[in-house]
Parts: sequence; structure tokens; C-alpha cells
Amino acid sequence: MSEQQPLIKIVKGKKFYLKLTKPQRIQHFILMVTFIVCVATGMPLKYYYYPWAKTLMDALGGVMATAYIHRASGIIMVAGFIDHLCYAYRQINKFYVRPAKAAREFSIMGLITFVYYSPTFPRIKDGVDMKNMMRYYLFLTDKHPRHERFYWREKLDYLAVFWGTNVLGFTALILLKKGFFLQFLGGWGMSAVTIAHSFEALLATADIIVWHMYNAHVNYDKMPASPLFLTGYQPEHIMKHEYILEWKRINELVKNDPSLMFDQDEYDKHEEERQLKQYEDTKAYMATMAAAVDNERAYQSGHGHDDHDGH
Amino acid sequence: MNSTQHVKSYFFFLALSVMSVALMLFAFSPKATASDQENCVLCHQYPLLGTVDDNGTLHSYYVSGTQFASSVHAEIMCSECHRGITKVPHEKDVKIDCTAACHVLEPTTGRPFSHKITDDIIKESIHGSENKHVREKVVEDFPECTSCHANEKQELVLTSRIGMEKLVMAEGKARCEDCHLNRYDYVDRKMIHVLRRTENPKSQQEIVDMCSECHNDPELNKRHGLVNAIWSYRENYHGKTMVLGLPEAPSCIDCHVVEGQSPHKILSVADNASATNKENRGVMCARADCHPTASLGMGNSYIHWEIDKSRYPVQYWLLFAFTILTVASFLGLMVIMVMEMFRMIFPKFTIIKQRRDK
Ligand code: HEC
Ligand code: HEC
Ligand code: HEC
Ligand code: HEC
Ligand code: HEC
Ligand code: HEC
Repeated sequence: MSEQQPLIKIVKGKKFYLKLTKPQRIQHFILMVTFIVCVATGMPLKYYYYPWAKTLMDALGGVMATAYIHRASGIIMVAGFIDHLCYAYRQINKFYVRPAKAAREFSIMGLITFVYYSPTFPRIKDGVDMKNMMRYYLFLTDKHPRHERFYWREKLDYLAVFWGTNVLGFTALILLKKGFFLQFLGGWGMSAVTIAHSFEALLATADIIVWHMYNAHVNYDKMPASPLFLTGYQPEHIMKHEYILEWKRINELVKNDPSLMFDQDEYDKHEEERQLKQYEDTKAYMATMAAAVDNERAYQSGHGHDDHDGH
Repeated sequence: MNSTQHVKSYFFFLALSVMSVALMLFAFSPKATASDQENCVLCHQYPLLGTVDDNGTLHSYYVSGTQFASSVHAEIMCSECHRGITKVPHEKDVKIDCTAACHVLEPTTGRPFSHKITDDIIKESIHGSENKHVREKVVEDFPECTSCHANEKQELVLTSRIGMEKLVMAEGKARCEDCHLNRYDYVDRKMIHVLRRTENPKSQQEIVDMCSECHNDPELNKRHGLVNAIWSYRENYHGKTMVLGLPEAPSCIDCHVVEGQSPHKILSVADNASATNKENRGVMCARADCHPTASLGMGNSYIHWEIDKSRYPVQYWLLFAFTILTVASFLGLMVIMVMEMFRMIFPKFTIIKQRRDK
């Protein structure tokens, strides 16, 4: 996405802060859909002995159909993961490598430092925050830790998915080509792969249902569902409560460059004006087109101004 | 069979009174079938006929005449199997011998038919206690015909019912009737005889049930050093899909019998000729209706493994690690969640005050 999204949007007098950019939302959406499909088609196989398993599987098209749906969905999920890696690579290039090279200051240490400070990378501050959060939960302090755009809670989620997609993806590849891999892996290896795939899936499902659903949709004022994953914007009171450092950082940026803020209310106010202006433009365009035939005739018959470049 | 000598015939008086009524109706009895020339069903058609042995177990002596008549043994007379029954009231029956010859003549040899061929196959298989690969020779543990072919409900003794309507294709039958008469269901019977053998007549579940009685028995498995083949089969993709109703899912005999051989020829994994022998497994997996494109390496796969530290350590410890990981992460996150929600109830309260509120 080349077009810059505003960091703050004002809608009905309320401020909303950008948290997920459009490519991130698309990545999340692909992951979400493929994950749900994989769970719906995989869990009946894991829990085949419950009566709902057969019901669900039949509803989804039977054993063979779900097997293919599961595979297709898994392949798309892995493709999404690879896309995410490419995205990370592009971001590193865009924000560090190319600018640093232009400034002739590029260094491996600098690159590592940049990656270390990128928003989803775990760092020392997360450990400190986590410790202080525990103290806060235990009533040992009244100081709530101050977070940036993503803090340990979300980073745990991110790491779990990062690791989970790898484990599930590689084991899935082996299971998909079992005849080939069995030649090297042997029976032990294969049953280990099967166990890993099945349990990692269970772990992921449990963590998503409990941890992620809670964090993203239940925890602090987000009930019943936070539209963040669709809109990409977080309301100000949540920003202040959970992401106070990011809130400050964005405010600072917007103060320096007000064009980073977009006021929907202001924009809507001038709606009629804009339409009227647009209509003027449209009419002018139509008039030009209407004149074009006569102009062309005149040009071809030798009259009129010869403005063509000759080819 | 010691207990039957002390059978308490609780039902005997009841049975006697029923019998006397039955005898009066003897001539008109509608339920006496063509095969019931000895009038055994006359008495045995009453569902309450039976005894309770010393252990309090009920033995039903009920036989449904109509079901018997549509069973595979319909043409055999009761006394051909129950050789100890020579008079009424009976003496104690002798053990039924499936290898004894009956009156039916087998057409290719012209000799009285018996199940001896099958019995010989079983004797040579791992289910014969004399097989050289047998691990523990505990004779009672080895199956007889009735271990696999008994009928649990007792109402239909030793038979599998034939779904006549389903199997007899109307179209094909009409062709036979160009030349044969369907007298005494001759055409039906002969068609069924052939048709029901063109595919496994029993469902996968029925076959697994056959084997479950022994292979799901922890004591027996322990005695013979076997894994629990039933549990492990179900936990395996093949068994899961069978439970979930995949029509092509393999049952035990699809893997344990070399394609095209008798379903009774189940051999030990250690036997060079068995389908599951290390050398032959790849070929077995690559059967045309299973994994035709698979490499022979496919045979390395474990079908049966169970949670057993000494026999399957890799699986055991991996399962252990994943269980810890799942439970720990789950509990850890739950604890954090609960702590947080609790904190949110008392947002102002604190033990150590650190904020300098303006
Ligand atoms: C007059 C009625 C009557 C007739 C006819 C009859 N039975 Fe029975 N049968 C009984 C009764 C009553 C019992 C149970 C009493 C007992 O424990 O002996 C029984 C028991 C049996 C048993 C179980 C005996 C055991 O030792 O386990 C068998 C097998 C049996 N009958 C077979 C037959 C056969 C085969 C015929 C036909 C040749 C037949 N019966 C004809 C009444 C009859
Ligand atoms: C193909 C052989 C065969 C034929 C034919 C046959 N039976 Fe049986 N029957 C058996 C076997 C095998 C058992 C099970 C014996 C056991 O469990 O020890 C049995 C069990 C029984 C029992 C229960 C006995 C008990 O001790 O539990 C009765 C009663 C009985 N049969 C009656 C009949 C009658 C009546 C007929 C004829 C309509 C008949 N059977 C035909 C083989 C046969
Ligand atoms: C270990 C279990 C087991 C034992 C013991 C066993 N069978 Fe079977 N039998 C089977 C299975 C499995 C089938 C195949 C059923 C299918 O394919 O649907 C079968 C099928 C049969 C069939 C049907 C074959 C056909 O094509 O119609 C006959 C007849 C038969 N068995 C007779 C016997 C006799 C007689 C004995 C005893 C000597 C015996 N069986 C012992 C498991 C067993
Ligand atoms: C064109 C006429 C014709 C048709 C159609 C026909 N049969 Fe026959 N069938 C015969 C003749 C003739 C014999 C006896 C000669 C022989 O054994 O080949 C016979 C023999 C038999 C026998 C062997 C009888 C014995 O005791 O040896 C059986 C069983 C049989 N047929 C069943 C069937 C069935 C089932 C069908 C239908 C699928 C069928 N036939 C269709 C003409 C026919
Ligand atoms: C009556 C009990 C009984 C029944 C029913 C039974 N089995 Fe067995 N099975 C045994 C015993 C006992 C052994 C021999 C164990 C030993 O080696 O000591 C055995 C061994 C085997 C083995 C060989 C294991 C090896 O590699 O050495 C296979 C395979 C097997 N059974 C399959 C089946 C199947 C398939 C069925 C169902 C169609 C079945 N069994 C039904 C008792 C039974
Ligand atoms: C997909 C093919 C397949 C199916 C289905 C299958 N088995 Fe096996 N079975 C094997 C193979 C391969 C082995 C040998 C290697 C192993 O232990 O995994 C084996 C081994 C066994 C053994 C010996 C185990 C031991 O302790 O050495 C028994 C007993 C057995 N199977 C019984 C059964 C029974 C009963 C069923 C049905 C519930 C069944 N099998 C279904 C492939 C199969």
C-alpha cells in the first residue's frame, strides 16, 4: 500500500488511532479465515469419538471433502505466512536498509538494532512490563505499566502464531508427502510428526479461544467485539489505558505534521460543496468531449491549429 | 462348562407350561419352517425359554424360526450341529464342532460339506495355538469360529442375516428366470451366494467388533505381549475415518490379510508371508484401492502404537512434553486473566502506593 493512512481519524468527535495498517489487516484476515477452516475440519478428526465430530464432518462434506478443504486451507495459511515474511523484509528495506544506505551509515549492528526495536519483536522492556503488570495485578503497585504499540500480551500471541505456523506447516508438509518422508523418518519419526501436528493444533486452538479472544474482544471495555481487526483503528480511551506510550508518540507526530490526522466530521461537513465542485468539473469535461468532433474535422481539413507532434 | 451341570432351571416350569400349549397347537403351528423338520423351533421360539446359571448369568435358549430360516444355516438341521440333543427333554448338549460334516453336499467334490478348510487355515494362522510365531501358548485365548462369528443377541444363533432384497438385483434375477424357476427361492439363493462374496459382506465396524473381544482385552494383550490393537487402530487415521464413516476406510483384515487370500489367514508380523511383515508392508499399502502411488517407504509407518514408555518412548515423551506445554500455557494464561479481571474490580485499591496523583 503506497497511500499513507492517517494516524488519527476523528469520527463523531472521537479520536481513533491507527494500529493495524491495511496490509496487516489483510494478513490477519487470511490467517483468521484459514485458521477457522483448519480448526473446523481438523478437530472432528482429532476428537472423532465425540458424537459432534461426525455431525460436523458430515455437515462440511464428509471425510474426504474435509481432508481436501483442510489441506487447501493450510496451504493458503502457509502462503500467508510466507507473504508476511516478505512483508517484514520489505518493511526492513523501506525503513532501514535503503534510508541507511542513502545516508551511507548502513551496518549489520544497525540492522539488528532496527529489527530489535520493530513493533512486534520481543525485547527487554516486555520483560520489565510483564513484571510490573504482575505487581500491579497483585495490588503491589498502583502504577499500570506503560505500553507501546504492541506489548507482551500481543507479542506472546504473535510469537505463538509464528512458532505454531512453522510447526504446523512443516509437519503438514511431511504428512502431505508421507510416502516420501517415511523413507527417511521411519515409523518413530512419522508418529512424532503426527503427534506434533495434532497437539500443536490443539495448543493453538486453546490459546486462540482463551487468550486471543479474551485479549482482543473481552478484556477492558472491548465487549462484545472489537472491530479493530476490520477497521485497523483503536478508540482513544483504549489507547490511553493500554498503549499510553504509543498514544503519546502518535500525538507528537501529528503535532509536527497535522496532515497525518484526518477529520471525518470536518470532511463530511463540506460534502455538498465537494459535490458541487465535482459537478462543475464533470460538466467541463463533457463540454470538451462534445467539442472534440468539430475540432477534429477542422484539423483534418487543414484548418485549425496543428498541435500534433508529427508522428 | 462345569456350571451348566448345576443349572437352576428357573424358567423350566414356565417353559413346560408353554410347551404343553405349544404341543396342542402342534399341527397348526405357523412358525414351523421348512428347515425345522425336527420341530425344535416349536419350543424354542418362546423368548422366555432359558436358564440362569450359578453365577446368575442368563442363558437364553430362544431361537427365532423366521430369522433362522433366512440365515446362512437355514438348510442345516438343528441336530446336525447340536449332536448331543437326541431326545426331549434333552440331555446336556455336546460342544459344537464346526468341522463336522453335514448333509449338504458340496458340488465340486460331491462330499458332505464341512468347515474343515477354514479350520485348517485358522490353525495355520497366528490364531492357531500351534503356529510357530505364537508368543504365549495359552490355548483358551485363541479364537474358535464362534469367537468371531457368534451372535450377541442370541436370538439368531450363529448366523449372519442376509439382506435378501438388497442383494438380489431385480434386473439380473429376471435374466436367470429366462431359464430357471424361482422355486423355493432357488434363483434368489444362488444369486446371493455369489453376489455377497463380491465384496466384504461385513461392515468395517462389524469386523473390528469381531476382534475387539480379545484384542481390546488388556489382560490378554499383556499375556501375549501385544499392543492394544483396537485402541491404536481407532487413534490412527484409518480407524478415525472408519468411525467417521468413510466407506473406503480399511478394517483389520484389509491390512492383515494378503490381497486375494482368505480373511482367516491372519499371520504374525514376524511371519515372512504376512501382509504386515516388514518386507511386505509397502506392497500392502500400495494396493490399487489404497495408496497406489505410495513409495514402499510407506510401510515404515506405525499403525499400532500406544502410550507405553518402554515400547514407544519417542511417542510417550513427545506426548508428555506437549501435554505439559498445553496445560501449562493454558493454566498460565488463565491465571493472568483471572488476576486481571480481579484487579479491574478494585481499580483504586493498592497495598503499596506509588502514584503521585495530581
Ligand atoms: C418340548 C420342547 C422342546 C423341543 C421340541 C426342543 N427343545 Fe431344546 N430345550 C427345551 C427346554 C425346555 C430347554 C431348557 C431346559 C434344559 O436346561 O434342559 C432346552 C434346551 C436346549 C438346548 C440347551 C441345552 C444345553 O445343554 O445348553 C439346546 C442346544 C436345545 N434345547 C436344542 C434343541 C434342538 C436342537 C431341538 C430339536 C432337535 C430342541 N432343542 C427341541 C425344550 C425343547
Ligand atoms: C450351524 C450349526 C447350528 C445349527 C444349524 C443350529 N445351531 Fe444352535 N447353536 C449353535 C452354536 C455354535 C451355539 C452356541 C453354543 C455355545 O455358545 O456354546 C448354539 C446355541 C444354541 C442354543 C443355546 C444353547 C446354550 O447353551 O446357550 C440353543 C437353544 C440352540 N442353539 C438351538 C438351536 C435350534 C433350535 C436350532 C434349529 C432351529 C439350532 N440351534 C441350529 C450351532 C447351531
Ligand atoms: C479371527 C476371527 C475369525 C475366526 C476365528 C473365524 N472367522 Fe470366519 N471370518 C472372519 C472374517 C473377518 C471374515 C470376513 C468377513 C467379511 O469379509 O465380511 C470371515 C468370514 C467367514 C465366512 C464367510 C466367507 C464367505 O465368503 O462367505 C465363513 C463361512 C467363515 N468365516 C467361517 C468360519 C469358520 C467355519 C470358522 C472356524 C473354523 C471361522 N470362520 C473362524 C473372521 C473369523
Ligand atoms: C440361458 C439359460 C440360463 C440362464 C439365463 C441362467 N442359467 Fe443357470 N443354468 C442353466 C443350465 C442349462 C444349467 C445346468 C447346466 C450347467 O450346470 O451348466 C444351469 C445351472 C445353474 C446352476 C448349477 C446348478 C447345479 O446344481 O449344478 C446354478 C447355481 C445356476 N444355474 C444359477 C443361475 C443363476 C443365479 C442365474 C442368473 C444370474 C442363471 N443360473 C442364469 C441355464 C441358465
Ligand atoms: C478369541 C480371541 C481373539 C480374537 C477374537 C481375535 N484374536 Fe487375534 N490374536 C489372539 C491371540 C491369542 C493371538 C496370538 C498372540 C500370541 O502371539 O501369543 C492373536 C494374534 C493376532 C495377530 C498377530 C500379532 C502378531 O503380529 O504376532 C493379529 C494380526 C491378529 N491377532 C489380528 C486379529 C484380527 C484382525 C481379529 C479379528 C478379525 C482377531 N485377531 C481376533 C486372539 C484373538
Ligand atoms: C492400515 C493397516 C492396518 C490396519 C487397518 C490394522 N492393522 Fe494391525 N498392524 C498393521 C501393521 C503394519 C502392523 C505391524 C506394525 C505395527 O505394529 O504397527 C500391525 C500389527 C498388528 C498386531 C500386532 C501388534 C504387536 O503388538 O506386535 C495386531 C495384534 C494387530 N495389528 C491387530 C489389528 C486389529 C485387531 C486391527 C483392527 C482393529 C488392525 N490390526 C488393523 C496394520 C494394520
